[in-house]
Amino acid sequence: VKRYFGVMLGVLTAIGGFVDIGDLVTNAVVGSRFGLGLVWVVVLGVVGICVFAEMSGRIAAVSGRATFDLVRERLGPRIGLANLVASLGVTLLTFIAEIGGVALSLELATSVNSLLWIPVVGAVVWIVLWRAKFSWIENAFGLLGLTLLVFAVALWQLGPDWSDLFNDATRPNRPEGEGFPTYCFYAVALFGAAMTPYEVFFFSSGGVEERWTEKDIGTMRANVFIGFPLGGLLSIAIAACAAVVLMPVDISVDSLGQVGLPVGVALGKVGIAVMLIGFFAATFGAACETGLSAGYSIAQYFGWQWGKYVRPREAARFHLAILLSSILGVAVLLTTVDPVKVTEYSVVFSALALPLTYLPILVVANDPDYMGEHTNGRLANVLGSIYLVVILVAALAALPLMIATKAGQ
Amino acid sequence: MTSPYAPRGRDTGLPNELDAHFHLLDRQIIDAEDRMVAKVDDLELQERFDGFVVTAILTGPGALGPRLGGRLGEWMVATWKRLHHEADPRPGRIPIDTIAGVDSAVHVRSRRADLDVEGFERWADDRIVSRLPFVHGRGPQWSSGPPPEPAPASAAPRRLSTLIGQTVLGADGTALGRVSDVRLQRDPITDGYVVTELLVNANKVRSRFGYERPAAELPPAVRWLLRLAGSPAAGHLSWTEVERVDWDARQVHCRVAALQHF
Repeated sequence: VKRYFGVMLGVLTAIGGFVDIGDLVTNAVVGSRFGLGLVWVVVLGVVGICVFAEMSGRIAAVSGRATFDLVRERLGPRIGLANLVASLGVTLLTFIAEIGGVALSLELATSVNSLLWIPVVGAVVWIVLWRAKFSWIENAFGLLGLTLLVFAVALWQLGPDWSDLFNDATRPNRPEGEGFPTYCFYAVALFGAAMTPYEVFFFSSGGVEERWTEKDIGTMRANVFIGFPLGGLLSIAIAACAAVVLMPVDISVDSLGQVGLPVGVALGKVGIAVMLIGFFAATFGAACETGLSAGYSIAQYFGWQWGKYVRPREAARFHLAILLSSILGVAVLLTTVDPVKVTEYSVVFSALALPLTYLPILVVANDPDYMGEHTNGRLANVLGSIYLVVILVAALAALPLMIATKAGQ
Repeated sequence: MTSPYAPRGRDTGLPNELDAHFHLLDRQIIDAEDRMVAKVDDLELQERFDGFVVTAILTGPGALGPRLGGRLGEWMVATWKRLHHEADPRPGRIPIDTIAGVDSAVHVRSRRADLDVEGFERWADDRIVSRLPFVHGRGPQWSSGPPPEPAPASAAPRRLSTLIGQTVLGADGTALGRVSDVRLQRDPITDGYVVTELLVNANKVRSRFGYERPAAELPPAVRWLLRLAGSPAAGHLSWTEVERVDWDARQVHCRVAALQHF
C-alpha cells in the first residue's frame, strides 16, 4: 500500500509540477492567437521530455550521477563550461520569470503592486530552499499545483464544440493574418516551454537527492510516463481555454491576468480563487526548482558537494550559489522588467540550449560501463535518435526565427 | 577488454586497467563518507626510469584553468592565485594511493575535511553560510592538521592534460595523429598506475564519447553525428615504443613507423 501511495504521490506531483510560468504563458498566448493549431507541438514536446527525463532518471538511479555531472564528463571542461553558461543563463532567466510570476499572482489576489511583492517572494523562496526538506518542496507545491485542473473544468463548463476543437488540433491550420515564420516561432517556443533544461537538471538531481537505486526505476517511469503526459493535457486545456474565449474576440495574451480570463468567464469568482492558488503553487514550486537547478548545475560542473540531503553547511558553495541567484533574480525583477516578456524569451532560449545537455545523456544512457544491464533499449534509442534531430532543428531555428519575427510580433 | 568498472553498488575496487582521460578526467570524486569532494581536474604524472606514473589527482582552479586555456583559463588561475592565502599556491592534490575505487565516480579513502583541497568551501562556510539566519547543525570539522606533504621534488611533475593532444611522430618523422588518451596499468607492488599505452586518434570528439572503445554502443543518430565530426580512431602505441616526449614542442617521438590498429 505504501508503495502504491508513493507511486500515486509521485504521479500527482509530476502532474501538478509539470506546468510552470513558461507553460502557462506560452500556451495561453498560442491558444489566443493560433487556436489549437499548435497542439501537435505540445504533444511533441511532452513525448520529448518523457524520453529525456526517463533516460536521465534511469542514469541517476543506476549510476548515481546527475545530468550536469555527466555533461562535463562527456563534453570536457571547455564545451562543458560553455554549456554551463548557456544552461545557467536560461535557468536563471526562468527563475526570474517564476519569481515574477509568483509576484504577479499575488498582485492579482491582493491588488498590491507586484514590485512590492518581489523582494518578499525572493526572500521566501530563498528561505524555503535554505531550510525546507527536498521532498516537502516537491510534494507540497506539486499537489497544490493540481488546482490548475480548474482550467480543464473551465473548458468543460465553457461547453465548446468538441469536434471543432478536435479538428483544429488534428489538422494544424494557420489562422489568416499570422505568417508562417511566426507560426514556426511559436512552435519552437512551445517546444522549449515543454522541454526546459532545468526540468531535467531538477529531475535527475532529485533522483540523487532521494537516493534512487535500480529498484526505483519502475516508480520513476510511472511518474514520467503518466505524470508528464497528464501535465501536458493540462497545458493543452490552458491553450484550449484561450482558444475558446480569447481568440474569437481577438485578445492576445500579454499578462498573467489574461491567461486566467477564461476561467473567470466560465467559473466566476470561485474559479478565479482556485486558479490563483494554482498560479501561485505552479510558479512558486517552479521558482524553487529553478533556484535549486541553478545551484545543481554550477556545483555539478565544479564537483562541489550539492543537495538538500546534506546539512546546508556541508554544501556551503551550493547554498552560496542559490543565495546569489536569489539576490540576482530579485535585482533583475526590480528593474521593472516584465516577467511575461522574460518568460517568452526564456522558453525560446531553452530550445537553443537543449542539444548540449541532451547529447551527453543519450550517450551515457547507452554506455554499459555506467548502466550495466540498464542501457537504452531499442525503443529508447529510436525515440532518442529522433529527438536528437528534432532538438537540433529547434535549436538551430530558434534564433533566426526570433530575429525574423521580432519575437513573434 | 572487459569493462574496467561496474556500476555503483558493485564496487570492484581498483581496476587493473584504466584510460586516464576517459575514466578519470572530469569525474566526480567521492570521499569515505559519501560526500562529494571535487572533480578530477587533472592528473599529476611523475617521470620514473621506465616511464611515467600517475602520482596524484589535481583539483581546483589551479588545475582546471590551464585545461580551459585561453584568456578565461589565465584569468581563472590568476584569480585563484590572488585569492589564495599562499604566495605561490599549488592546485589541490590528492595522492593516488588515497583512491579506493573507481566506478561512475572516483572514491577516495579519506574524509574530504582532511584532504585539504577545499579552500573555497571552507571560506564559503566560514564567512557566509554559517552566518546566515536560521542556520542549524554543525558544519564539517575541517582539519587544521599539518600541511600536505609537498610533491616529490625529484623531477618537475607533468600534467596529464598536457600529454593529451600532443602530436605523435613516427620513426620517419611523419605525424601519426594526436594523443587522445593514456592507458594506465595498475602496478601491483606500489598500487600506483603506470602509463603503458597511448591511444592515438585523429579526432578528439570521438574519444570523448568513448567511440573507439568496443564497449560503448551508440544510437544511430549519435554515430551519424560523430561520423560528421571526423575520421575514425587511428590506433594505439605501446609506451615501450615511445622514444621521448618533447613537452615544449608538444610532440611524442616514437620508434615505430605506424600505429597498432584496434
